[in-house]
Amino acid sequence: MDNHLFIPGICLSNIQLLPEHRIWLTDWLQSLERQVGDKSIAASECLQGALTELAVSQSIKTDWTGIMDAYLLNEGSPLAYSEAYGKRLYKFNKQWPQTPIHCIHARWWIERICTKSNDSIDYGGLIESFIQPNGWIYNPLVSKTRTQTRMKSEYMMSFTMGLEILHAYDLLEKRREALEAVISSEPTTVFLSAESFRQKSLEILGVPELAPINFHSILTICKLEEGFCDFSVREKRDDYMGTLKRVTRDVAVHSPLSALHAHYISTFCTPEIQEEVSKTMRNIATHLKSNPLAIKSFKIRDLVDVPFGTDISPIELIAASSIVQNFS
Amino acid sequence: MLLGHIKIRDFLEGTHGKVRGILVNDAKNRYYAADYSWREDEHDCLWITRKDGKGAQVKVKSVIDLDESLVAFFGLYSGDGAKGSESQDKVGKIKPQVSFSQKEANLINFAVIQFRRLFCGSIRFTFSIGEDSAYFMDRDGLEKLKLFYNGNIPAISSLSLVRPTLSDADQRYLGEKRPVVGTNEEHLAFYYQHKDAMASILREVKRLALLSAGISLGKTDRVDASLRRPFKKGARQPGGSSRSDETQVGGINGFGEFFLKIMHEIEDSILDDRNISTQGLIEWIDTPSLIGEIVNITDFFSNNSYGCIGGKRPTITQKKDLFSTEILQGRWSRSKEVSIKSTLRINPLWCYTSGLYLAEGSTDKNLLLTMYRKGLSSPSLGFTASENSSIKLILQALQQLFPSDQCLEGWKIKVGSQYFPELVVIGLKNAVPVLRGGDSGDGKLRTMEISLALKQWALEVVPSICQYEDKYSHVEPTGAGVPRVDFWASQSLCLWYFPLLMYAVFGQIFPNPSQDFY
Repeated sequence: MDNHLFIPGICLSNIQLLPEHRIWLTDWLQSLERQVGDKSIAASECLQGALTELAVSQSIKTDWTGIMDAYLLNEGSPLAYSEAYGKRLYKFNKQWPQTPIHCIHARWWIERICTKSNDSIDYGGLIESFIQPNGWIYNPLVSKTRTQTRMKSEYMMSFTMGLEILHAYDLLEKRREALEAVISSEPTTVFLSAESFRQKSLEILGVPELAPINFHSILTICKLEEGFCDFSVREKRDDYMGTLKRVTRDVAVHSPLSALHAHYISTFCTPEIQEEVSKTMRNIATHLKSNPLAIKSFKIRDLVDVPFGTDISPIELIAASSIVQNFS
Repeated sequence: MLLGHIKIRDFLEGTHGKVRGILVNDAKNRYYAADYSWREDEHDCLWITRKDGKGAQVKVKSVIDLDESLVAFFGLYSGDGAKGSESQDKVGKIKPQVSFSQKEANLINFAVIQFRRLFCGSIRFTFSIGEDSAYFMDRDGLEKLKLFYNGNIPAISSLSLVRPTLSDADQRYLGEKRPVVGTNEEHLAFYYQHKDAMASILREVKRLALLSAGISLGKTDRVDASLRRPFKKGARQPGGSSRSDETQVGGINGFGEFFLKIMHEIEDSILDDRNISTQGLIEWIDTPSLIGEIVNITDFFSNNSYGCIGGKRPTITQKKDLFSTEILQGRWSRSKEVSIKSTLRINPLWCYTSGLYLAEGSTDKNLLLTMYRKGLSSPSLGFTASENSSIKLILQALQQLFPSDQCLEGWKIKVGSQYFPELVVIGLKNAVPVLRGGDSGDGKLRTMEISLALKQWALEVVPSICQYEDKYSHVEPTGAGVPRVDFWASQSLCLWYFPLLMYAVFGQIFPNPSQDFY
């Protein structure tokens, strides 16, 4: 159980962190501790805290379930955000009390890893209640957006998380065929994470043969010179009209996390494709070994000095260390 | 009121006719450059031509007076004016053209008046209207087409009949996929069969709109219409519109770089509050913040025709705040009480931002132009930009009229669909998916981690918003556009801000706003 679908193929308790990554992650855990002290915490941070502790110490050091009981629980439903965290955004008071699938999964995963459970939460029942008529698994009270305009990576992720939980509670069988139909009928996407989550779903269902025939094309589409990005700039197009976007100034950025998704997908491909991806992974490992913190953020056009969102994050560093460990 | 001068001759002599400038928009840094030669005639006018021989000989006065409306015009152009297209042969270099994208006929009229003031030589206008031909397939457009054909629209012929030889663009169109009823062949046949009729209808629509705003076409002025193939851009359903309106200025070809330079020197000198712009092209009569008519707010809203909305005026009471600054409390009927400063200087900042807000503000232009007759219902006050200068200017202008803490209600980051894949990766790095809000996904992003991860980007790109850092609300996925900052203010400010904005732009040209706007 010490693996997580965000960072596929990693055994967290066996990971050997690069020294620079260990320092960064230890500092991050300390800052997270301060946040907990302020009661300002998100389920995603608890999850990353648990993942980081496993990577740094090979065991859980913090009472994450206690923290989640105190700040991230509402009448048997896990919450994504504590009330104090919800106040980090102005007038977000109607939105922060929410129970998306990923926060249920985070809580469930942490309980499993801590071998400590809260009997008030009916994980299987919660997930069953969020299976939509179209077969996808999401909480419409959080996001009611119709499937055409949802992010593919999002509904594939939530679906896979839902399957993991249903599987753990022996609730898969009665819905197996319907769930297989949903995930296998979804046309191939142009996003590594979405295809990685799809493969994971098919693996949980035990039907990897139902993958779309050309699923491995994603490995070519999303390959960069220095590694992998979740998407290809050239494939950016208007979902509705199908027209290509003007992308001359857009730049894809390599991410160790995306590289792990690519490698995971390749394990379902031919030996030739596997070797091709492994070769790229070795190159990434060599680069990361000499540049451990060279994980970049996106930039918007000519605003090259201003990071557009996150560069280094706990799961990026865990992914990076594992690539160095396994492919050097 | 005279605010300053555009010193064309001094600038040309000082720079030896070299015009250089930087244009930052849509998160792109580009530049423009052109060299000009000139001669002066006996009427104190300059005849300016490009040294490369391309373009027209443009006649302008050697010194042009800057008053409220001309400064406002440059603000308007800053928002709605063409900035130019990128040169094929030189990376980052733009070729500017003087052209103005605006549908609202009163604003077009205003722009035409100002263009004529600026260019004393012979200039001509082409008023063009573009539309997706899918507009004529249903609802209003179909009704107009029926009327054109006297009630009987001919049945669609086959594509091979109406378009025997297909162009490359036609072939590409036929090869594209669209989730709409009917085939591409049928749509293309519709386009070619009715192209002339549709263009004729659009030209008439435009001509009538111009006429109603008081724009009479000169001998050299034209009205043009262009049709796009159905559903090609914007219109996603039969009857859907993707209208675009353009006013192209002829007779000043090659002057685009110079025009942009004037605009940038005005904007920069206002931003820095300097009475002489960097290269001396603009010279204000004094420090920009210290010049301009001082408007007594109580008097304005009690007596001025621009202070009367829908036949009504507000009630105003006076008091002093902790620092003994005179603050008024004003209230319009059926509206919340607002604190407002007792005087406002109609300085270059106010004028420029008034034009800029008219172009780029979130308020429907039609509401602003009809409020004097019909009143103002459900207005909004908001502004969006992908760079700092224009947001800084608008906030500074609002702070001239209202206490700082009232100028902004909240702000968000809008991200166009082109950058959704980046949002997904930012989410994955933070162990969350991108959860969108609303049926179509354009509501508040539900995943707080992603909104918080982008906050610092916005604060660095638009530092003027830092003073309102705690009012950051969320990321909003939108249809198109580069990531940008969008702020909004309380609705109750509108009834105070808009009349003074309109006064600055139009006050000298249209004395009676309840009658002068159509």
